[in-house]
Amino acid sequence: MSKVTITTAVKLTAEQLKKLTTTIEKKYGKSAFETIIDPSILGGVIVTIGSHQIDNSYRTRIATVKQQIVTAIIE
Amino acid sequence: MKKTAPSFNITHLMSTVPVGISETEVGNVITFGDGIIQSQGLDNIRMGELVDLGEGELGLTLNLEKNKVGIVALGRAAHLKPGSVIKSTGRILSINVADDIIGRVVDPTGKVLDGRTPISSGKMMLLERIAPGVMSRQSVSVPLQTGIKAIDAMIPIGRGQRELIIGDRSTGKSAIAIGTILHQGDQNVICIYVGIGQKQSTLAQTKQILEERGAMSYTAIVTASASDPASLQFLAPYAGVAIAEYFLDKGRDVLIVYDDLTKHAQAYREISLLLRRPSGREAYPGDVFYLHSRLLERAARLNKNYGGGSITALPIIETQGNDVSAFVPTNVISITDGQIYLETDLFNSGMRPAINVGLSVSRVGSAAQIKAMKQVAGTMKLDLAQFRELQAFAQFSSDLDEKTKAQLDRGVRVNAILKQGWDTPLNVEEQVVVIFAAVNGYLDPIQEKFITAWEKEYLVYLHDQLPEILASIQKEQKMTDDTIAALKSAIDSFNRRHAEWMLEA
Repeated sequence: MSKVTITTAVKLTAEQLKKLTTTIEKKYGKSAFETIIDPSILGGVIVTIGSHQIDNSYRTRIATVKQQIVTAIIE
Repeated sequence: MKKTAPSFNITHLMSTVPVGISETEVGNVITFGDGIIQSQGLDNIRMGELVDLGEGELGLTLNLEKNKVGIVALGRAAHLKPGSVIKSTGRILSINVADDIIGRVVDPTGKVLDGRTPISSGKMMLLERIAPGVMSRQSVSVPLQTGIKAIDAMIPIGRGQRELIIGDRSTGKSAIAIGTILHQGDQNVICIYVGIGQKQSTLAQTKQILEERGAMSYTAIVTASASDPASLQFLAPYAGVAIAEYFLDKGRDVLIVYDDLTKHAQAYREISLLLRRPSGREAYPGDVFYLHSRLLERAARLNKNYGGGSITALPIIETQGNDVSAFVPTNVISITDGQIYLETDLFNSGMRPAINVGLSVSRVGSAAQIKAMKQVAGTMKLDLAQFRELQAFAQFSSDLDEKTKAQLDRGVRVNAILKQGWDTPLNVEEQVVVIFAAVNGYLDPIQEKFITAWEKEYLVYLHDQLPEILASIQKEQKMTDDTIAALKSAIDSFNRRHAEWMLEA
């Protein structure tokens, strides 16, 4: 049984959470869920299954764009 | 002063930036110290994969264990603390190489260090690539002219060969390597100079020499200096050979200098000890032989079907107190195809380059010499060996017969013409005519102290008065009977002009 952490910026509704956990369990098997509320990710969701991380947060997206702009300016 | 803001095309940027969902392997730092990170997580990471440590810093996986991963940081990574999240990148360590890397100074990750624009995006070359196999190789037959008489005549180096330069500190090891690079200007050879654990000042000096002599137009420098982390010093030679392989794949001839592999082994020892790998002889880890053999095996001469390029490697090893039987020197001696052995005593007695001809060998030998050189240098090595033997013997007696005395005098002169400034490489035809004069006894009547002046004037004389002799040797690659006759009379008339250099009758 894998350990799954779901990180969101705001608290998910019971319905949203149910939908998410069912999808995850369908793909990765029965899991132990832990939910974390972390406003610093700004929006979206980060799901960590074991050491595998699926990152769909706004913080990461903005960071990617920032990195690209910095690289473009240096070049 | 008005500062102009840097400009770039944001529309283009926005259309290319991937902003979708990112899927990575993540882990947490357990301990971090001395550039070594022990982490948990990262379940599916591979050996030699780059790890994103955050804040633009990268790490390299070197140890995979059941519950933890050993990572070596490729920078200072001062922001890391226990619990920090690190991510896999899915990239195996590689370096970006394009044609415009020539003339540049880069670090082992491909970052430019000369303050100019980054290298344009070319091909990603793997730092760890398997060496070319038997089927793609061909035997070494084309000479790599070093421009140094003692080497080209007696320890010839061929393209695709690995020739070790070994000696104590300050015996002119780097000078031989840099002198060789300087001579490649018209030889159609690309040079890569890899500086490992050197002082920044030394490297700046090397770069300046190469620039002043126009050698940077065909040379690239890879460096991890003494102040860089051991991880970068460990990677530097692999980065260098990866750049060389880029040009090898294009069918070019490449010369790569590793300066020096002693410091490379020490950097690897540091990493290994910090990773708590078991230590062996001289506290080096068990795989220090493989460390160098897999590097030097990548020097090769490929056959026509594979482009016909070559990588010639000149690794440098620094010994302590002439101890060639220490661990790392013996390893590298057995891997390479010969060694150039430099000695402090010779260096101090004014013999420069301070090559001990008796102990230096090239296992490729005369296959990598042009015919003209074979003609004049054929017996030179034997002559010099006999001379040294006589010399040791003659110290005890002043009463020598004429024949022995003549042999000694000849030996002194042949030895004297092997002296050469490290930054004055000679073309092969110039070397041939000088050695021809010495081994055929034309220097016997010259006073010993005037030999250097004689050589200099003699070459000027030939270039000015009889350029057809040099041209003929260059064209035919051998000394025809006509050339020999012409050269003999040329030396005779040259010697008649300079009576002031002759011995008293």
